[in-house]
Amino acid sequence: MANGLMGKVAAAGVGVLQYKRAGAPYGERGVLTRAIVAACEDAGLDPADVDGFVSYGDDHNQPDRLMPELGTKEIRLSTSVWGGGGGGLLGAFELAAMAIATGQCKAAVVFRALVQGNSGRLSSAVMAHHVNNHFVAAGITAPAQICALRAMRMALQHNLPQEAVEQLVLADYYHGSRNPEAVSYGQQFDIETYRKSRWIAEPLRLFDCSRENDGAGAILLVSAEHARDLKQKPVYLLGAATGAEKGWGDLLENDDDYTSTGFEPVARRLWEMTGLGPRDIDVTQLYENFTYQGISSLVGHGLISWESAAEDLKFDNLIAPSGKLPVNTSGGNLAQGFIHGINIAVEAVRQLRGQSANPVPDARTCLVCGGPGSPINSSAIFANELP
Amino acid sequence: MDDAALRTGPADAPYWHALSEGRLIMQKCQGCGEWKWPAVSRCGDCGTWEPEWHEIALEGKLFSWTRTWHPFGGTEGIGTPFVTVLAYLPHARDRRLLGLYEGDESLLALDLPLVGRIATTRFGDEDIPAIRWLPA
Ligand SMILES: [Zn+2]
Repeated sequence: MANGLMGKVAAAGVGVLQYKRAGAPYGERGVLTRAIVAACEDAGLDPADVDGFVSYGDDHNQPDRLMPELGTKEIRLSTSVWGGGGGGLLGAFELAAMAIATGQCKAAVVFRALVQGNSGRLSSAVMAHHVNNHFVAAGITAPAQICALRAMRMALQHNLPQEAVEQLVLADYYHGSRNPEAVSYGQQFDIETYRKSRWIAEPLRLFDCSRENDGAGAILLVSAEHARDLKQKPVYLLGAATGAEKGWGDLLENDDDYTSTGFEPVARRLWEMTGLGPRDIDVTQLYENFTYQGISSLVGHGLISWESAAEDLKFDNLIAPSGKLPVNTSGGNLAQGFIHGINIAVEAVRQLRGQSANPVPDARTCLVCGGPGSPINSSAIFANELP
Repeated sequence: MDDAALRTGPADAPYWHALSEGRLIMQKCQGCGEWKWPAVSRCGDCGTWEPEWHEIALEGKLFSWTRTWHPFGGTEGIGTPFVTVLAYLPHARDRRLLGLYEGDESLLALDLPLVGRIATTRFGDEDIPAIRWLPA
């Protein structure tokens, strides 16, 4: 099993700017440029020395157009992961790390920018990948509806109680309420607010759904050796995997396991390449486009099982600093903000540096999962020390 | 979105053609006997090109469902709330097809026996051939 990435590359800088949807004061490229410069300043690296650029989810910002403002001396890696959803999030880290580990480039940023005036609604862009007459004929025109059909099957097939789903929402909002950068900062979240929120598509209510923000995020990756010479404590990438196996994909809702979110083959490889297992994970950043999909991601990685879900998904168990299964310590996509998931990768780095608003004591490893339910999904494990 | 962008691809053109004539046909590979869905021009299991189409009865069972309340763009011609069903087809090795649901919503449960009728769904200014699922 390939383990050539193990500890070779580290996140050395992070930068993120987040605004209300349609509230960005600059255009998309302006926001992105600022996020990349912020990531470089965080690391203490000249933005002109960034020579690799990787994104995902149909980001519109071609790296060569960033060159004049970043002062880029030379682009050596310019690529993106296929797929319209968030499934490519950690795949972007995988590609950047492969390039750095093999010497193809030296300093790569993984980025995602989303400003509504420039790129339109994310949900529309995601749907353009999947929508066709088979869906439209049945009234399905949005990702939320597809995820609702899948969520309903999860609830019915696995007897997943609504109370368990609520616990994830509560944990996200608890973490978000304590994070000054979160959309829910300082807000007291009441479970009745959730229960009374309007239906979007059953079983999903408004508060089961991530809601888009304008903004951009960037994470600077360099070799582990290089990272040790920069300003911040290195956060090493132990492994990253992307993909799908037979019986999963863009299959008109004919995936073999309809309650899966497609992570099983990705997680299998991740454990093999790092030599770690679910019990070695200290904190998890879930991409919850929708609550049920976040829960299925935990199942797909073996952190919980459908049988144990009701028991494991308890507020006290899901929050820092005391829970055994802390998730989404920034508030996650639901309560921190949603720039197509880049925020949760930023939080992974901050958490492992000890800079999270909700620190997990002695956390050494952080799992990040991107995409849930996309035709292609990806995950990665970061760590603040080499095993 | 233009019409062409909404098609899955040329492989399922016979499906849409049959549906517009009031028949359900599904693809079964003459090489290995597998029911294929989504439609393919080559069977990835045995390598046979152009798997054959077979007419089957419009009968299914409920695999999952959702009731949409939010007025998503493109659903104006349906009107909220409405129920979408994902049905599995015992006559085609449980391959699944989507459709709007008509009938008693209190019956919605896994494995509910369903029968289909063929109608059209308004999307933009287009009428798309569609299956409506009803309790059997
Ligand atoms: Zn075949």
